[in-house]
Amino acid sequence: MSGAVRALLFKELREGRWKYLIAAVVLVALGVSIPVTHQFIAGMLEQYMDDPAVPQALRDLLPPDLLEMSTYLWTNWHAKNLYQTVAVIALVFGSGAVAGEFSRGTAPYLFSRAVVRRSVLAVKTAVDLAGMALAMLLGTAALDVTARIAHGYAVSGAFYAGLVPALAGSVFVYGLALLISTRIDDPVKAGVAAAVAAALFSIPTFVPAWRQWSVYVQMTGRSLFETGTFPWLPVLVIAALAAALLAAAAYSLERRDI
Amino acid sequence: MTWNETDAAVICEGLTKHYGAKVAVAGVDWVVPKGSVTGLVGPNGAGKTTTLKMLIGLVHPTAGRARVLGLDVAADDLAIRQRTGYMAEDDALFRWMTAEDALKFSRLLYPAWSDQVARETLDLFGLPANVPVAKMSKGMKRQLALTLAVAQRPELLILDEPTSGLDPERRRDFLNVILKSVAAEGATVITSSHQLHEIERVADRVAFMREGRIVRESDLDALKEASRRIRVIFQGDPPADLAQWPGVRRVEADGRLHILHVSDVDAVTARLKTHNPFVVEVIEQNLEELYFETARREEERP
Repeated sequence: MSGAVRALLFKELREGRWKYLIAAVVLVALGVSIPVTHQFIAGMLEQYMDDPAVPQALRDLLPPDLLEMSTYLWTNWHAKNLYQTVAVIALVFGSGAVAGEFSRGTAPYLFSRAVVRRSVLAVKTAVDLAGMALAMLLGTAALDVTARIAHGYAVSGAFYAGLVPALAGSVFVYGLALLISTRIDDPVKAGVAAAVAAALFSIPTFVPAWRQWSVYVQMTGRSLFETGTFPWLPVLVIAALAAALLAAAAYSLERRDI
Repeated sequence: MTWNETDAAVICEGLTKHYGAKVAVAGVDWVVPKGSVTGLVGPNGAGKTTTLKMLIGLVHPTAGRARVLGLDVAADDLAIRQRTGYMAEDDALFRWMTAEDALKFSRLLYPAWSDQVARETLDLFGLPANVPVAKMSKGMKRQLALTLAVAQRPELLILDEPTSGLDPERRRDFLNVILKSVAAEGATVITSSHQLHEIERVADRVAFMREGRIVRESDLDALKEASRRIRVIFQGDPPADLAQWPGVRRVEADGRLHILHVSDVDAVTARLKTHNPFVVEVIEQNLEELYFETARREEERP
């Protein structure tokens, strides 16, 4: 590892330690809360199903196995909380990565050191993605441990494999935010712009015929839950798109004046 | 004089920078000899900072080229930064870093880094090692930035307004560190500043920048020599043909007092003495006067 990379790692880990800790705490709290609230949700649903005022058509919408533990955990973690939360974390991390240096006024100092801009971006990306991946893993492990303690239920290997499409999608969102962060020097404005861009990519989610083209739908790793099949193609496509966004961010940073 | 890359630390040829329709730097042709201390002076907005940023690779030129330490700024910016110390005008170090952290960070980046120079400079400034930048005064931050720049033992030191915001005592220490670096390492220094008396103290060359161009550039002593004037008070009427004397470029008269702008001080002084004047004295212009004279000359240019 070159001296420049070690210096940049030292900087990024020292500067980012609190945000990585907060991300991990948020995901661990969510992971713990899902098994813990199972009985509460079950009680609510029973009440709902027993209520004669609820039309049968609405009752039919609820899957019969919704409260079965594996379904409950998957739908509440991979299909909801995890991908939504990591998408927000990716937006926050990505939009602050370069814009933060400009807003703090440290960009001229950083980029006038004996480092290449690509290395700065690569180290920022690597550290942020490692921070996100670790937070996701800790959150999932927290869910697993809580489910074992509270319900004696151990999640499957496929449950952990579901982290891969979620991580691929979060890299895509991070790349989008990072690209915008190289052009807008205010991290808040960059975050808002990135959020708008990320929202545009959610449009296919709401059109049934296009759902399979939605990054966010693919982040849930549905095929792993339904058939135990790893979604190789969607993961590879999302990873390729994310790589293209990261490369575009590197090019954009390289071209700009500081 | 024709410069080659072994004599010159910096060679700019038609270096230009546009920001949209605004021209920040308008074709700078400039050579900075190796081992020199060059002061870059000019009004705000003259293009000094943009020019210095282009030399270090922070800003990409729109046109023209520049070579720094024999390397092309467009292609070899990393190699240039490895051998160049740069201190930006509004140098914001990482707020969480202490001086100790900053040394650790910089040590990993520069192959020629010297802990000894860093410690000596920190001691000279009396900078604490464990106070974070966020709690340092502006002066302390500037001192830390200079410490980092000289401890990398650069071949070229680029300082953009290095002493702005410093008190006179700290300025003196600051200039001493720069001079020490030049003496010990033979570094070339380019420093931009509005503190003309400081430039005059440390620089042996000066470049005047105005509206994106270097309008005057010379060895400082030669410039002063060439701009000397003669103040003369005649006892009677001055010679009628005074303005036409060989070596006299211009005459300003105020009663019996005459200021002669000359190209050959010694010859004109000798001839004036034959007219038995009350007073004949040679006036040397300081850098501030040269600065305003250059500005005036440029404003009068059609």
